[in-house]
Amino acid sequence: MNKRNKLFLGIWIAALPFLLSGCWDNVELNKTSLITGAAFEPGSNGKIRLTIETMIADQLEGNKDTVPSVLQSAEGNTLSEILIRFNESMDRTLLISHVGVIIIDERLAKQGLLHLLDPMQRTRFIREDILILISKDVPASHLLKVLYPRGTLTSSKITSQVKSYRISYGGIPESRLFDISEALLSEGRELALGAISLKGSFKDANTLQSIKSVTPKASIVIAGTGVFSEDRLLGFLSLEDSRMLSLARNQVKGTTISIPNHDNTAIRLYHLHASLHAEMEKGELVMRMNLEGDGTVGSVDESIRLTSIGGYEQLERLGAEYLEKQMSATIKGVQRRFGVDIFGFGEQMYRKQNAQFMSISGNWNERFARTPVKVKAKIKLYRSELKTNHIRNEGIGP
Amino acid sequence: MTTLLRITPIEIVVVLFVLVVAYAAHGGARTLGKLSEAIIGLVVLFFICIAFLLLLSGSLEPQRMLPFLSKGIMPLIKTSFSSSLWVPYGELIVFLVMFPQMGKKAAFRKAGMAAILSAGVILAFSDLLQIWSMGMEYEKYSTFPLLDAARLINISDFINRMDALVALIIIFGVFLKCAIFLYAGAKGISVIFGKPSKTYIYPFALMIGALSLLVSHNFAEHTEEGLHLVIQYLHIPFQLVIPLLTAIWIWILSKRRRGSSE
Amino acid sequence: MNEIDHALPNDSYSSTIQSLGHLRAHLKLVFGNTDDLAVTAVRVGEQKGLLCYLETMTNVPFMMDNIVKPLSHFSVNDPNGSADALLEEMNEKYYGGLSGTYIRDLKEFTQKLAVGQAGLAVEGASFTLMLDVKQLDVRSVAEPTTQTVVRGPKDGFTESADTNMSLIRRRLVNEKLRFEKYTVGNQSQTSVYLAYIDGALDVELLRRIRARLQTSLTSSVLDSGNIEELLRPRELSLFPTVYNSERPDAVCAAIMEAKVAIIVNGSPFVLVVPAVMNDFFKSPEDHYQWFAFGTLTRVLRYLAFFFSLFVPSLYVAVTTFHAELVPTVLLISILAQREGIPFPAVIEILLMEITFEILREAGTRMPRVVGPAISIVGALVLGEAAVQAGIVSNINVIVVALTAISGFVAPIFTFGANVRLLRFGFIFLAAVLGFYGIILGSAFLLIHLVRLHSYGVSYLSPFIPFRIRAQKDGILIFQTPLPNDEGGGNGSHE
Repeated sequence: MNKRNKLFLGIWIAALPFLLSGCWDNVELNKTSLITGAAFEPGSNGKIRLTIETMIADQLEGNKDTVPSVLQSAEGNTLSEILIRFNESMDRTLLISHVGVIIIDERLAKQGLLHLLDPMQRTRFIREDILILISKDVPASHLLKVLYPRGTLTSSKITSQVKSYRISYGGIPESRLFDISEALLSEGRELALGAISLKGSFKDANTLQSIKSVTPKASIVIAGTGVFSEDRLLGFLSLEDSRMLSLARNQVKGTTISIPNHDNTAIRLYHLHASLHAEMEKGELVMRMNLEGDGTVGSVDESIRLTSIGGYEQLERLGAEYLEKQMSATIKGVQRRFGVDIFGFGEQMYRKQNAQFMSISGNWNERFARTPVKVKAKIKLYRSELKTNHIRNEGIGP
Repeated sequence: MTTLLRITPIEIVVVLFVLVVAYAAHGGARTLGKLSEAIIGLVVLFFICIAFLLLLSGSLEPQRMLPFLSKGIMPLIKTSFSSSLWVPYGELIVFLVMFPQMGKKAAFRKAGMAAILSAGVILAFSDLLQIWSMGMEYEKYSTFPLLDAARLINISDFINRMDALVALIIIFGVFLKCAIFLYAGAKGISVIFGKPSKTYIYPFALMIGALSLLVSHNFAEHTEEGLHLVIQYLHIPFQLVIPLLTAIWIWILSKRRRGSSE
Repeated sequence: MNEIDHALPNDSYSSTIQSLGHLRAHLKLVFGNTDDLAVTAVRVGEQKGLLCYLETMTNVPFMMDNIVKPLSHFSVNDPNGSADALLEEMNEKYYGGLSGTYIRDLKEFTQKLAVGQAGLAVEGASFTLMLDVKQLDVRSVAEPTTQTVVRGPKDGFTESADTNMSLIRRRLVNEKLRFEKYTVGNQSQTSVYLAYIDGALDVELLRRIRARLQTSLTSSVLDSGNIEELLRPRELSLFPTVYNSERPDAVCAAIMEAKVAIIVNGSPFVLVVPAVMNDFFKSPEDHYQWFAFGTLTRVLRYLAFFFSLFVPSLYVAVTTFHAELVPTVLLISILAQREGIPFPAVIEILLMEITFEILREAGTRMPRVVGPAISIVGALVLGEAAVQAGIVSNINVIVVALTAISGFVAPIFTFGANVRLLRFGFIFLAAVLGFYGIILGSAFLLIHLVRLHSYGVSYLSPFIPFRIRAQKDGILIFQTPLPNDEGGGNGSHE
């Protein structure tokens, strides 16, 4: 081997012992504990109290006689400061990279979210699609203490619940960390986050006893949407209003509307789309919303004849009217009670009519609150499932 | 790489990286050519993967691209002349070092044009992906926008932690760039000192590794130096002024020679 | 041989045939007391003669019938002629089909005896007659043991170079097919044949191979593996650059692609040069089945290659460094399984890998009768008992098993062996630097593969450099196009 090759070999060999000097960044999995849920609430002396839910792995897999998680609390000023204090009481290194849901108490939210958010957005370990929800009427930490009969972690129950709610009812608006950042960065749209609350008696909810009966003693329920101005919580919307808000933001996966004044008439809608328009006409702000949807008939009463085209058209009209009314009521309610644009009219105008928006962007929320919105809806019904008219209608039979 | 590895001393990371870059540059222009074929295949594949997965997880919204050119075309032109022209397009001047090995002029021209155009397309595509998935404001807010875009991929909660793809794109891309520059530098030095360029590659590599640790202390310094100072004091002289003067000089000389031979 | 040459004073000693007694003495000197040398006295016409042969190399009955018997019928035309003329006459009359040669040089005489020819010497003649009566028992042509196919020819090469050459020539009926013989190895004098099709071949390639064979300093060549050693490139190479196969159809396909095949006497593995990485993922079966199936199988082989290289190191990297890259549900499952395991992930993986290597080696070396015991012990040890004892986790066993099985997918065994070593390197890198270590390692591997070439052909052809036309046998197999003209009138049979 000539001298040059020896030199190269020498360089490579000299580099190799560096590898032997240690494995710096690795953490053995069985010396760690995963944080799966977190709850922020006001603590004593103006500090923040963080309660974390950590998972006990083999309990989840194997024997079901013990609780699946362990909760601990600690106080401090920022998330990073508090996280490092948990080892005062916990045994293993905590990994936050698999946290699923973060619950923020409404009292903290009223003071402003931003000082909680920055460490969460900055760190590589907290993913942008974790759920962030506001707790309504109860302290946030109580919500992590409620067990669910399936024996799963409370946080995975909550995430699953929110997803299923969106498919069945229409749900609450997307409340991921990414959506918070997007809303705060966007011009012309304010933040709206989902809210959860507790139903039932909290007293024994965190013991196994409460889930060993057919009717659990306490359960977590979805309670509506929290409306924000910048990062401060203003108030809550009801569940029906939340659905309309989700519809306006194109986040509804499926829902069923039941028409008033016709007992038992319901339409199941599958594909819903809302398009928002805002522009200046002759110096005045004009806002419109068009809703479109299609679906199948859920149930009818005798007054609607589904064997004729007229019946379908009547049902479509009824559905559309219902949607328009509900949406207008929701928008008016938001304009009156909160005065902020959570639907995104401003955002649409910023995108499509940029010059016009920039001229009024200073006081967009006030202008939004003053201007009525015209809502038009259109529904297409394709099928009526397995049966035609209501069973009481004449004309069925030979 | 400190985003991936925090406690590991940065010297280790740098030394190993630089040695592998030297191994690539040591192979000569032919190795670099073949290597770039491999890496471009990988990079394009990963880009398409990311785009496809983002599409499947419903994160792409073309609306986020609006408003388009809301401030007119002037900011566009200003930025391109002050920064985009030099980094990355101005750095193509490095290929003049390898010009003698690149074959006939016509083929070189065709390949060069194709390379510039396709690189522009890929960069534009990447930027578009970032805007469509995150929005312009969020893109400015994040340090590595492509990484943040890839973090948004979430398909039925299973395919959802795709940071590694972006890490691969970034590392392989930087790696190839370093190898090409290292090779060009060694070749340049070999013209001055006479020894074959291969002898200078490993020493240069180690030197570059050491200097990189001394040059920038933190990310802001890196960006400030890399995107502003370097452009004014290094790129414009070396990419525009000196080559232009050299070209004019050569042209004058060739004219004079032709004149004297006639 | 060397000893004997030095014992004799070189040039002064006459190295040609003098007399029968001289011949006997020389034979005693060269062959010593070896039992299988037969030196029988015969009568050729009226003269005394000697028939020398090595019993173990010659077909003795044949010789008795065709050489010795005619001697008794021999009636000389000219009883007073020279012994030389006698031999010549004998050869022309009776030994026509035995391709006899006349040898004067003693050294050549003994060499030819060693190869299996019989020598007939007559008192007073200045040369001897060498007759080819070689007979060597060879293994009959059977199914190859290493590269099996489901559909395709099932004959395999044997240890005899002659049989191998015949297996090739009968498939490749081309007058331009040439076999060139070389003798390699000082002590073993092994015959090595180059097989190629004249005309399409790159002459430079031939020249380089010839140079390597002729200037080799090895003393013994017992298998084609020894020749493979001679043919490797001068720079470091982690991957084999010479392809070897036990299948005649694979070798013929290679020869038709303007490559050179090297047949080594004594080895059923025929070498093919130049070889690129893609060759090690090809099996002749890919072309015998439907093209889509062939493509799928190739993709599968590449996938298995990546698995066997990266899976253990990815497991180590992800569970120790980057737990945030695994989906939560999977991580919970892994966590639950790793509770209570005493070893760090790296040690666990290394333990299992080494155990598997031991098992594999034992399985190969073990006599056949003890065979079933290993599979029971292996399954019990690796699988059940280790997991039950809490020494390793289930996921670990799955990882190691997947890696091991993937390692055997490569059609050529030599390739799998290289990959195994690389795998350990990657595990080590992953243990120290996590995912970044794996990236660095794969960058190094990629550069190495790009730099590697086999006799001028880039090792990663046909992928890099990328030529569309060459892709037809890369990972994708294109369907061979049918000729346009179907032959008129075949469609209208109604």
